[in-house]
Amino acid sequence: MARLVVTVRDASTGAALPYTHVEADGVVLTAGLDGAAVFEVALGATKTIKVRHTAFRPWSRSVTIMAERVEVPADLEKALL
Amino acid sequence: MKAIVASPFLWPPTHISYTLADELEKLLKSFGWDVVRLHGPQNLRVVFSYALKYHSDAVLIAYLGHASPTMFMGEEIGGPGILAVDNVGDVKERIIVGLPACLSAQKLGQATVNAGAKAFVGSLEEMYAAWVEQEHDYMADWFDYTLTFYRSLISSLNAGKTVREASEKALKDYKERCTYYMELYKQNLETWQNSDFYVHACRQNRDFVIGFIR
Repeated sequence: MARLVVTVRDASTGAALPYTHVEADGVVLTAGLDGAAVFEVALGATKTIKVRHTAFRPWSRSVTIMAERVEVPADLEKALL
Repeated sequence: MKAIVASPFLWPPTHISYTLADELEKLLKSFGWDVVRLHGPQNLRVVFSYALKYHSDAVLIAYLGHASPTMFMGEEIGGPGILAVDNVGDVKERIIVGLPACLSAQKLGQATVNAGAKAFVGSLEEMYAAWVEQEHDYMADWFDYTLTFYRSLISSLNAGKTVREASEKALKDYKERCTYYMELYKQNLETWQNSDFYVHACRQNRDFVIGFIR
């Protein structure tokens, strides 16, 4: 097994965005106070990650797990006028 | 007829609404309207107030950008706003539209109509911008449904409809177009990876836009 760590931040300030919904192939976690959501995943798997926060542009990426720990920064842009 | 189109250029969402204002300007001109455009840094209270006074024949004031319950913010975050409940300015007999703009229908809408505006259209809640994503051009859809409002309003006014008739029809046409895109996104939830977000954004942009019409 490996760890996929998705860290969610405000792209304009760099601040962590806690309580953000982070999904990896249907498994949904809530980011912690540091903005991180940690998934246990199979080594070699490809995961589609979706990050959703009501005030920010949606963020989606596909990541192949090639190491025992994969860190993915998710920097979100503001979506509200 | 004449319109003032105000479009600040503050941060990414207003960069996109600024581009939308370019399209609105083209649309108005294609219908034979004169357009006074307030670009980015021109969206300061003193400039806007001067534009209202100097262009007293402008029947439509369109604002596309950042707003709050009490003001169209313009280019200064934390500033007095270009049009605000504490200084509504010369809005008599005009149509004021804050689309797209957040929250302005909460207080600014009633204040402008109380000050003599014929109509105010804006949102009770925050409004979303949209982007070109890998799987679909949601920005083009956002432009289309927003311009549907303006196109309907302008064509009705050109045809001699009353402000009430024109505003009500424009709102109806706008909401129908939003619904069309919401349904399109729902049909593609499995294949368009960001469509879930845009269903929500489109619904919010549809459901909270209201009109105050004298």
